[in-house]
Amino acid sequence: MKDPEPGRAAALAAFDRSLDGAAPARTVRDAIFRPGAHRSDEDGPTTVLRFDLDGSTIDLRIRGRGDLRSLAGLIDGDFDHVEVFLRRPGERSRLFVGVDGAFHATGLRPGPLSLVVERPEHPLALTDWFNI
Amino acid sequence: MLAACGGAVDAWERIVDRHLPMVNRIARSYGLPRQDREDAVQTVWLRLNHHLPRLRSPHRLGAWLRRVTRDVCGRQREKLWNPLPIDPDHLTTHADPTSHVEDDYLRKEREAELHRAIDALDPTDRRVAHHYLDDSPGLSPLSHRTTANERRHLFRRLRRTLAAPNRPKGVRDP
Repeated sequence: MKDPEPGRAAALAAFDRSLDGAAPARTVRDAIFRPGAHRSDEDGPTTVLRFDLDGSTIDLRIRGRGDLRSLAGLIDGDFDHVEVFLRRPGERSRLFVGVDGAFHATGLRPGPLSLVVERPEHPLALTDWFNI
Repeated sequence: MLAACGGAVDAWERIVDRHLPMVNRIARSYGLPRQDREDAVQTVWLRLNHHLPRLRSPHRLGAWLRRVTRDVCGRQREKLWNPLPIDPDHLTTHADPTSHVEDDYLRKEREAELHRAIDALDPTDRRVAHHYLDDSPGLSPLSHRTTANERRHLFRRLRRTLAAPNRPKGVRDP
């Protein structure tokens, strides 16, 4: 029997219609910055992303160090309460969002990532998938 | 696509089986390490799942996947590019006479023109072009993947497209 095309299982697992009603957050900035001359050998590039969420923005900074990534984010806008979830293929975890709208996650393995944002009186919002 | 939007897993499976080889061929042409390439390909399918309800033209799906694959793989390659900082006092000893900003731009422009010319080919020639450019290890020799006639036909078409007046110039936006 012919071997399946590489990546077929992951491609099939990507199918998920459960969040079709969510509003897409527009990516308005996606830039890569390199560490300066004082970097250590383990420091990787920093990716800076900004998403527009219908009246709110999310700024993200993803840093690489060795085999792991860390994420620092800031959500601003006019709301009393917000929930931010980090989505990886097959899993979802809630991030603690401070009163100033800041959140972070560390020890992330490389791979695809997306954010889900819940705000009262707004539809669920999703960022596009990006690789960290 | 409509059936997949409605939740039909078998419709999604048909989309994957039809387009995954093309996505893989494009991803391999970027020369990424295996894990990065697999992450990039997975991201392409996650993005398709995310955008599926808003894609209106099934006949444009192949073009959409090609664009997203190039975008994701290009970003991944950009992240991996890791220049070494050099003391300015030593720049002359490290200067590479073969690498220059202008040369780099011209090389990128040539590559962008070639990719545009490949995009303009009919699906058969485009498949041959992707087979021709695929240099991933472990593949069968080029002569087993494409026939001499196919390659001759491909080169003739590409030369004609590249020689055509009024073709777009410049480095393509990611």
